[in-house]
Amino acid sequence: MRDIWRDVLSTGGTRAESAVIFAAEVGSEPKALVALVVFTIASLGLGVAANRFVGREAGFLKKYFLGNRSLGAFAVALTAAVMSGGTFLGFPAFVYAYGWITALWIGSYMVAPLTVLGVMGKRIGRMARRTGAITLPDLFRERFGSPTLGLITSVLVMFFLTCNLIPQFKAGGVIMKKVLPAAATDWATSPPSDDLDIKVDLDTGYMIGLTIFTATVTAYTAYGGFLAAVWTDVFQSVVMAIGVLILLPLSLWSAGGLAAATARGVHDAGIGYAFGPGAGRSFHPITLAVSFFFMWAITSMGQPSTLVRLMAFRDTRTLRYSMIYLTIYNFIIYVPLILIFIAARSVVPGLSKPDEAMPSLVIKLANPYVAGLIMAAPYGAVMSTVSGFLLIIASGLTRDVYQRFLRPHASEKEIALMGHVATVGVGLVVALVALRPPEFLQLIIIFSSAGMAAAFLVPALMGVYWRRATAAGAIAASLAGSGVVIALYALGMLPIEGTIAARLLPANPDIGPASSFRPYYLLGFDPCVWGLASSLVAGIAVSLFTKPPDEARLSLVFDDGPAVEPKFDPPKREVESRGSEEPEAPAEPSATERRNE
Amino acid sequence: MPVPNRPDRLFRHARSEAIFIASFWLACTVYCCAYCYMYGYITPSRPLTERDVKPIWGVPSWVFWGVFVPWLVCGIVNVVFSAWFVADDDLGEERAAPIADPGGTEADVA
Repeated sequence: MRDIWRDVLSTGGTRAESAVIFAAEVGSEPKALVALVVFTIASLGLGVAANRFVGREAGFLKKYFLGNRSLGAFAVALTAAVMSGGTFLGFPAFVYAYGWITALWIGSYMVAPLTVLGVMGKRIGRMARRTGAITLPDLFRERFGSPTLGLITSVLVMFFLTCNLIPQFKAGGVIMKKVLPAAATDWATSPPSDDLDIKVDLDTGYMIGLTIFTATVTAYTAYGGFLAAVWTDVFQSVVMAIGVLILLPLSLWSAGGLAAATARGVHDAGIGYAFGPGAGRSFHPITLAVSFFFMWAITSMGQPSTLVRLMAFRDTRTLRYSMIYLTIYNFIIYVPLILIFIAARSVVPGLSKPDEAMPSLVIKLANPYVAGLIMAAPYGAVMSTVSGFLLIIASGLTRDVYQRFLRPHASEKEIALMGHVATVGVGLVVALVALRPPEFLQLIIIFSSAGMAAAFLVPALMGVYWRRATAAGAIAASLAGSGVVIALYALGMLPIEGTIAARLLPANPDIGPASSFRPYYLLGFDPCVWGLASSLVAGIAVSLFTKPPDEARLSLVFDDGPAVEPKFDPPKREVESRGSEEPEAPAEPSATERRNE
Repeated sequence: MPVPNRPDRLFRHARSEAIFIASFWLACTVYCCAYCYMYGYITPSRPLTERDVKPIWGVPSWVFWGVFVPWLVCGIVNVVFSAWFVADDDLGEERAAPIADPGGTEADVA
């Protein structure tokens, strides 16, 4: 079972699995416990501060789920950096295992600040303000005038993110269990269990850890909302950066230089350590190298968490500065990480489990208190991931289900209560499921990220830049993209021998990380490439074959100073010209009308 | 008489910037992948040995020229582009009311 964790790490390293590895390495280390307590207190404090920081004048939803559209450049940059436990554990693991080829594997981060923030940032920010959108389904629904699209988006977001959350909760629970003093969990008899086994038995220590983690993270998220999640993200990103900058000189000095470390790696792992496609196996053939320039720089643009942040930044000056900060941040994190863990080959040679590289190196080189602080960062990463995802799901339930379909005339107080209840409720439900997480769930995390990008990136791009894009086209793009990713993962994992698929398709190439749980690499490319391509083709084709969208609605999001309120249902007669018609029955006075009044 | 579309200023700026970014991403992808494949990949027709590492400051030359130098250049381009070429645009006023729809009013409006 341990191999599964390592396999998953080497496919990209998500926060949850990395954090579990971290827990196994740290064990019941008192300094780690101190560091986790500091993180927990700091996070709760950030939740309280976030709640007080946001002004009271804004509506609840905008304040709670978007931080009142007030994110500054530093917050946008560091939350968009998606620093995680994977960054600090998963990525180092395969620098150590596969060698210099991982520099190319992560290389597209060089341009990611521009793609993630610059391609759609301004347009999403403008559209969100003009339409009053607070959630991603809101944005799609208002842009395309389609409740169906909004509902599909809500369902897909909630489905993928809920799947993502379950192992995050498990990781949080396991970490807390590992650092708790034995006396805290010995009061009840717990059946023996291997913490790295995904099938967690209902042992007392895990349950206590899960309870503490759930209570902490849901408390500060429910109280502090979006800003609490963002500030926690910033906090752990800063801690990680400090850790990297401390480790770099220590590791290079200790290794006797990079050339010596490279020679040691070649000696241990073969010549593939210094060249592509990697040591030991065809880890990163050129087709995957191309795929990963899509994976990091392009698919990140389509993640709901990214799109929500693009609805929340303060102004375009903020966006420009955040691109600069993110450029600098990526450079001082990823390039040093490569160098540090190439050097780790000399400092901590012969590790049979590459995922132990980071904790082993930190413990060997750093002051014990510094080591504790650095290694607590993945826990903070799990917490910030959970809080961000919880809010997106809660916003979907509150805004897109409760307010939209169940109680459209609910008072602000009622909506606020529902928002808090949804956040806590989702946290509790996920924690219950995490008591017995399904096997192989980490694989779901990976494909769900690719699935979300394939589902939302093309509709978002079409929505912000193409007037001719229609609701049907957006729906087709969303379903085709996510469907192709799901299908390729299914083909890779399910036995297809003897089926028609086996006869039609060439054998799955033995590339990428070693794992029995892998997608089908069609022509050697990662599923994210095929998902995005199919989404694009479907979106364009269906849009061109369906009726053009309502011009008044397009004017609202594309043109200067629209005078006509778009209608949700397109009018029966054509809108002759902008400014020549009044809306038939707006439920609320428009912004223009209010200003006139 | 239909009024011609008047794409707003922000849209025009954002579109130009997006085209530049997409082109830049494509250039980075092509350069990095092509350079690294030509000089850093072991293939049946091009077996490489330790002597081919040719380290520059300890970094294999193919990584130095294929990843790190482009990363540095990209960093400079990113900063210059963000600081001087991305236009500052008005994001507009927050909409006071949501677009009218059959779902009825929305309670959170300011």
